[in-house]
Amino acid sequence: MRRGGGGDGLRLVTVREQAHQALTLLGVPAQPRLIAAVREAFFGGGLRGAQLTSLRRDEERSFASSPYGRPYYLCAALTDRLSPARGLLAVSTWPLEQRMVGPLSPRVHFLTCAVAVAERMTAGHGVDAGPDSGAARLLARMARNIPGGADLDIGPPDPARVIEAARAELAVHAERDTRDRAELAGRAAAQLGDRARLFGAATLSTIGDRAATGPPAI
Amino acid sequence: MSLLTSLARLRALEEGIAQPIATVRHCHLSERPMVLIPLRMSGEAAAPLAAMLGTRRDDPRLLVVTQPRNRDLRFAWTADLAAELLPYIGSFLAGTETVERKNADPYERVLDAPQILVPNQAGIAFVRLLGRSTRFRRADGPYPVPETVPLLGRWLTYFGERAAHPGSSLMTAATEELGRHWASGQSGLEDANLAALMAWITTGPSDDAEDPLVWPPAGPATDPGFDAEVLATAIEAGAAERITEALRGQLEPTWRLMWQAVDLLRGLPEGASVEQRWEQDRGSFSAMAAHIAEGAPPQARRDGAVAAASRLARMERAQAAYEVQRAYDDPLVMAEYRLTGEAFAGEVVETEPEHSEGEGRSRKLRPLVVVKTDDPVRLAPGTALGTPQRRAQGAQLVEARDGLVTVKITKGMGRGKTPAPGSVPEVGERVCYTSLTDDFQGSPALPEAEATPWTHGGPPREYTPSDEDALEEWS
Amino acid sequence: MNRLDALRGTTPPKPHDARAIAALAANPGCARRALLDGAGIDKDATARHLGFPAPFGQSPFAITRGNAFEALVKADGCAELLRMLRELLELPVAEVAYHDVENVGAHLRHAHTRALFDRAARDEHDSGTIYDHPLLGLEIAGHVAYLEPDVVAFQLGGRFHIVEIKSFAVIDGQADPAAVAAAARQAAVYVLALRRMLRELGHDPLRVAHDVVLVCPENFANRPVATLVDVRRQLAVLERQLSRMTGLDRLVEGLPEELTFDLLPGEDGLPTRPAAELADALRRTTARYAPDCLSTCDLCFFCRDEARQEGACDLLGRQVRDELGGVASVEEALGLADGTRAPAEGQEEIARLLRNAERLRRECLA
Ligand code: SF4
Repeated sequence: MRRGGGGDGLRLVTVREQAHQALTLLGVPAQPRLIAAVREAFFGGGLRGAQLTSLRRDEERSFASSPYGRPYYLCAALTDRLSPARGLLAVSTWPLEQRMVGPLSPRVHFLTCAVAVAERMTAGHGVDAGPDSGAARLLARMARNIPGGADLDIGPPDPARVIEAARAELAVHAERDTRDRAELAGRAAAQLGDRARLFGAATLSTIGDRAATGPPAI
Repeated sequence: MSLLTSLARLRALEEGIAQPIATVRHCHLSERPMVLIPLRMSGEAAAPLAAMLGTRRDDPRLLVVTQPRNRDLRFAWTADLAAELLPYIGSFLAGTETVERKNADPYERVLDAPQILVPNQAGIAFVRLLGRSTRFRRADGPYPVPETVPLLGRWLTYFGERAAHPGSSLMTAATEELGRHWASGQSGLEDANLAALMAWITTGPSDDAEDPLVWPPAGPATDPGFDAEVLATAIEAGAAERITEALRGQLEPTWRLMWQAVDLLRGLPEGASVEQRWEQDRGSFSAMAAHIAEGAPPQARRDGAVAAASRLARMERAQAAYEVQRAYDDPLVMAEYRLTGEAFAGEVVETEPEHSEGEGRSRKLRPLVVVKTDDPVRLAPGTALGTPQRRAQGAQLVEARDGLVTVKITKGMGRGKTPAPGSVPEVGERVCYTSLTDDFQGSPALPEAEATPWTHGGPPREYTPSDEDALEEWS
Repeated sequence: MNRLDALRGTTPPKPHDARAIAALAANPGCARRALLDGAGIDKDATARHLGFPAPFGQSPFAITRGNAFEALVKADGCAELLRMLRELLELPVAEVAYHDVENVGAHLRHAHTRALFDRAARDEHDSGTIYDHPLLGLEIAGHVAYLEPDVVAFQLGGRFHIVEIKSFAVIDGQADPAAVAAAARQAAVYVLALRRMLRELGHDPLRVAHDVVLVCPENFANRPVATLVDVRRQLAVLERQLSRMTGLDRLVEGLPEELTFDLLPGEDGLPTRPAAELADALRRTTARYAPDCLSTCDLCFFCRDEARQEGACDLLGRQVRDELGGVASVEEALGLADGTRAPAEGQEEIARLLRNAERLRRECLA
C-alpha cells in the first residue's frame, strides 16, 4: 500500500502539503474526496480521502499548542452557526469570507471548483488531458451536474464550455452568497477567538429556538 | 396452489417427509446437464463473485473473482465462464434435423440442446442480469473485453428469458422443479431454500438447512456472516488462495445437493408431453443459434411495445398448454381438476359404439359411453371434452346424473359406419374425461410460433446497440 | 408505571427506526408484535435470548456499498442530487441552497430540524433548499421514535419532498419490486413524520408531497438516477396501523397483572431472565404467525417454533390457510380429510372437499 508521499524519487510531500496544493488550486473549502481527486488529476495520485479525515483535528492540536507556529493550517469552514462544517477542509490564510458556508455556498463552491479544474486543464501544466485521464474524468463528472455543461453523457467535456456554463450559474447565486458570507464573516470576527475562528465554535443553540421548544402535541 | 397440494403439505407436516404431487416428471432432464451455481458480490446488482459449474458431478469447475472490486478481474472471470459455457453450448450445434413447415421454409433443428440447472429462481435472475451486463460489451474500442464475453452475454440473456417461458427446460431452477413434484411441510417461501426443500424430500425437515454454517446459502446471495468473518478479511489481506478455498467451501455443499436433485428427478418416469416441449426448446435454441450466426445484434435493452405484447401472448398460450399437458400426462395433476369438477374419471359401465345421429347423407357415427364416477361433475351438457387415454379423440358431455355420466364421442373414432377398433372404450375400462383441451388435439404438427424467437410472432426487434451501450460503466 | 412500560420492565427501550415502523404494518393482526413494539421492547435481543436469533444480517460489503453510493449522491453539496431534482421536479436554477443538518450535535438535531422546517414553511425565501440528514420524530404508542431521512428537499411553491437514497440498482428502468416496495414503505414513514411535524408547527401537513424521490444506481454503474414514487397507499396502511397502536390499552387489559417481558439486564447489560420464563410470558400473548414474518419480524423463529408445536396450518402460508377456510390445525384438517373427525358447524363444505381430495390422492398414488 502506498503512503502519502509522492514516492519514486520525488521530494517527499506530506499529506498536509498535498491537501494544501489541491485546496489552493480550488480556492474554496472542499471535501477530502474532491481534494484526493484533484491531487490525482493534476499532481499524480497517491492521496486517499481517508488520509485526510483526521487532518483537521491534528492541525487544531498543533495550533492549540503553539498558535500560528506554522505558515498555514488546514482548518475548518464555518457554518451559519459558526460551527465547523462537516467534512470540509479550508486554508487558514484565506480571508474569513472565503471559509464561510452559507446556504448557497456548497453550490458556489462546486461551481468554482469546476471552473478551477477546467482552467487548469486548458492551461496545460503538463497535464495529461486525454479523454481517459483523471482530469478529464473529474471534469466530466462535474460537467454532468452543471446545466449546459455537457451535451451527452459520453465523450470528454469541453473545458471552455464547462467554464462558461459554471460562470453562468454562478452569476445567479453570487450576489446572495457573497452577502451571506460577508455577514457570517463579520459575526465570526466579532464573536470568535483565534482558535474558534479557524476551527469553529462548539454548537450550543439552534436557530430560532422558539419553534423548537415545548413538547410535541400529537 | 390447489387444495390437493395443500392437503399434501399437511400430510407432509404430519408424516415429517415431503409428499409426491406428481407421478411423472414434467421437465426434460438432459443426459449431460450443465449445473451452474453462481454467487454474487453482496451489495452489487450483477457483480460476480464465484461460480461452480460443470456437467459431471465428480468434476466441478470453480471460478472465483479474487478481488471483486477489480473490474478487469470480473471480466476475466466472465471470459473464464465463457470458456466453460460456450463450448458446452456449441457442442449441441453439430447434429441437426430438417423440419418441414407449412407456409414457411424448412429449418434446421438441433437433435439435442443444452440444459442449464441453477439452484433457485434468484439464480436465474442473476444469470439474466449477468447476460444484460455483458452482452453489449465490445472486443474493440475504449474498454475492450475478450470477444467471448459479449457472446456469452447474449446466450445468458437468451437462457434467462427462455427460463420464463412456461414448460421450457433449457434453463431451470432446482427448487422450482422439485417443488412441482413434491410438497414439503413448509411454506412456499421456505421452499426457495434448496437445502431445506431437499431435506424435506429425502430425510425429513432439518433446522440445519437454515444454518449457514452447516448449509451455506445456494446463492447467488452469500451469507452475511460469511462475508463479514471470512470473505472481508481474506479480501483485505489480498489472499487469493484463501478466498478461493473459502468460496469452494461455500459452494460444494450446494453442488452435491444439485446432483442429488438431478437424481431425484431422474427417478421419476418422464411425462408423455415432455418430449414435445423439449422439441420446442430445441427449435427455440436452434433459432437463437442461427440468429447469432447471421450476425444479428444483441437483444435490445427493452422489448418494443409490439414485441412485448406478442411475447406476453406467447407466454400465456404456453402456460395454458403446459397446464393442460401436465394434467393429461399425470393423473395426480388431473385430480386437481376432478376435485373442482372440470374433469371426472371412473369405470365404463355401458357403451353404445354404433350410436349415430342424423339421417341419410348427414348421418354421423356418435358412439355413446356411460361412465360411473365418484367425482363431483360440474360440466354442462354439450361441453366439449378430451381424454388422456385417447388424446386425438373429441367428445361431448350428454348428461351427468347420480354418478353416471354419458359421453358422446365426436372425433377420433374413424370414418366408417362402425368405430375403428379400440377407439371406443370397453365396458370395465377406467377412463377420464375433462373440459381441458389443448392444441395437440387439433394439429399436432403445428409449427411452434416461438421456434423462431423474435422473427416469428412479432416484428424483429429493431435495435442497434450504441457506443453508449458498449461503454456503459461496470463499476 | 404505565402498563406498557411494565411489560418492558428494567430493560432500556429500543428506539424504532423507519424500517421498524414500516414493518409494524407488515402483520397488523399480530397482538404479540403490537404489544412488544408498543412497549419499545428490543425484539432482536429478546429473540436472541430465547435462543431463536433473527435471521437478518447485512453483509459488510452491502453496507459499504450503500454508504459509498450515498456519499456520491451527496458529494459537493449534493451536486448529483441537484441535477436529478432539477430534472424531476423542474427545480429552477436558482434553487440550490443546502443545509447539512448533521452539522449540529446529535442532541440538537431534532430541534434544529424543527426550526429549519418551520422557517422554511413560513418564509418562501428558503425555497430550493436541500436538507441533508434532518432528524424527525414520530410518536409510537407514547414513545418518540427519531427518524433520519436521507434528504428532504424543499421546493419553490412550498412543497417538501422526501428523498430516499438506496443502493439497489435500477436496470433498464426496472428494479427489484420487493426492494422498491420496502423503500416506499420506509419513505412513507418519513412523509408521515414530517407531515405531523408541520401540523404541530401550525402548517398545512399536505405540503409534504406524497411523491417521494427514490435515488438508485442506474444499470451496473454508480451513476444515480431518480424516480418519483407515489406512497399514498403505504401511508394509508401505516396510519391505520399507528392508530391501532394507540388502541393497545385494550390488548394490555386482557393480560395478567404480573406479566412482563423484562430481560432483567445485569450490570453488564446481558439478560439474566431465565429464557424459559420469558418464553412462557410471550406465549401468554396471541401471535399470528405467517411465513412472511420470516422477512419482517425478529421473533419469527420463535413464533414459527410455537406454530410447529401447535401444529398450526399457518406454517404453510396464507394461501393454504385460506384454502382451508378456517380449519386452523393440521390435525383437524387431516382428521376431516380422513373422515375420522366430524365436521363442526360451518365446516361441512371444506370437510367434503378435503375428503374428496384425500380420496383422489389415494386413488392416484395407489
Ligand atoms: S414473528 Fe411472531 S411476533 Fe412477529 S409478527 Fe410474526 S407472529 Fe407476530
